[in-house]
Amino acid sequence: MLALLAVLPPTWLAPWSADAATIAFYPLRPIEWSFARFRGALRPAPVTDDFVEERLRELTEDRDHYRALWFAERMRTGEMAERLAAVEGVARVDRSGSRPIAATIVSQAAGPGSGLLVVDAGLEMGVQSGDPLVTNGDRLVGRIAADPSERRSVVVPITHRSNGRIDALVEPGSGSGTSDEASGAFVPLQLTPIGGGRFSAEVAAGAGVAVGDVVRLADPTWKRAAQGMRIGTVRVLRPLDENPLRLRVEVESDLEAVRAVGVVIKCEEAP
Amino acid sequence: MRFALFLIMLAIALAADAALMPALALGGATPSMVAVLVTFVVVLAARDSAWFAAVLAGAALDLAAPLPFDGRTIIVIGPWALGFAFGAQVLLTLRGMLVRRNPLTIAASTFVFLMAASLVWCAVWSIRAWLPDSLPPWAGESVLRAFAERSRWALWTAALALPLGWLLLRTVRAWSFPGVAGRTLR
Repeated sequence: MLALLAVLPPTWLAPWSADAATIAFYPLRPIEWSFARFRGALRPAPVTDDFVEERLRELTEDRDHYRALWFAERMRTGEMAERLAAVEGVARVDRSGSRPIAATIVSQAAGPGSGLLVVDAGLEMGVQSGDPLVTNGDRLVGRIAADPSERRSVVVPITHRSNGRIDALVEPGSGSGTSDEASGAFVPLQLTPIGGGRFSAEVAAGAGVAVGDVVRLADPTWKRAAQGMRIGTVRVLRPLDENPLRLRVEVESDLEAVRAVGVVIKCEEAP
Repeated sequence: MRFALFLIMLAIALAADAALMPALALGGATPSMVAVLVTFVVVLAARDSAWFAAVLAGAALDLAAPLPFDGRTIIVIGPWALGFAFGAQVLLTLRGMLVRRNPLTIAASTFVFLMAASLVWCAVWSIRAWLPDSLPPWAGESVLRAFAERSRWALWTAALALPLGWLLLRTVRAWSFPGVAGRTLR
């Protein structure tokens, strides 16, 4: 019986298995919640940065900068929606605005292999599939998987292999504090999760990317609220053996997602 | 064996594995309290009870391990359940040679149990990889590397089994194991 269950195709399991697990584990939620609180006190999520004080100040500036850009973008989108409505005679709703919801990561899948997380917020609070989660202002934790329940949602961390390739932008010089934001000379990358909280990518040798540069999300398959959020930092740069004009880049996530407890879900309003 | 006590302990261990054990993660390996509990039961309980408890705990661990599939999550019941069944069978075969009521025994047995269980887990997922649309949890890497990761997990869990095993052995009378006298090392 177990052997048969173990080899059922995923398409047969998809409609019922996750719901069955949710029901089976419902009585354990209060205990998990208590343990999660204790874990948060026992081992707070670390921020892996060498120059913590200086970097915190820079990050706060970054956050304020991007928040300002975000508000400006919202206003611009609203203006465009009005123009479109006037032209097409169709009322448009601005979907770019997002509503922050504080949530707690209450558990991760037990045992190795899964890597998914669970947060204590769901449909009841307006959480939708694909909504991004951030912590420490702009550090991207992941996004909500499909079919959130009323009060809980499964989260696929940004470092999870199931995310596939992720489009991102590097801020050249951000590691050394010499970035020129006015020039907007971001370098595009396509990141591939390689495990251990790291991503790999390739970039042209003269693109100006350096170790310590900050990498941010710029992937249209992620929701708008996730764009520009910080994925990690460039940690390794080395020439490719097969093509010395290109460099292999390794980006390390700044955050160990499984050890973050308090997160913010950036919920997009329903149309 | 008092099965009600096992169920209560299993519930606490599952919740701790999900919410508390990540605080003890070392190099990506998060120890498993469920595995220590099952090892303790398999080493001391009657054969049938021990085997059933291991399968039940394995199935619970499967239920607690959602995997992404086509934008949703799915649960595959079987890999850990079968793995724990095999691990329990290995321990049941070996336990006659063990000094059962010793924390070191629980720790070493936990390692053996998890290595055996991980072997079956990798095998089941390798078989599942033949199914259409079914990616194993180690997608993009080799099964050997996945097994090596589980070995680290087993090692760290075995280390945790020393204090946990000691604590569990203090409660051994409450479990009503048959012939609990066993061999002891004092």
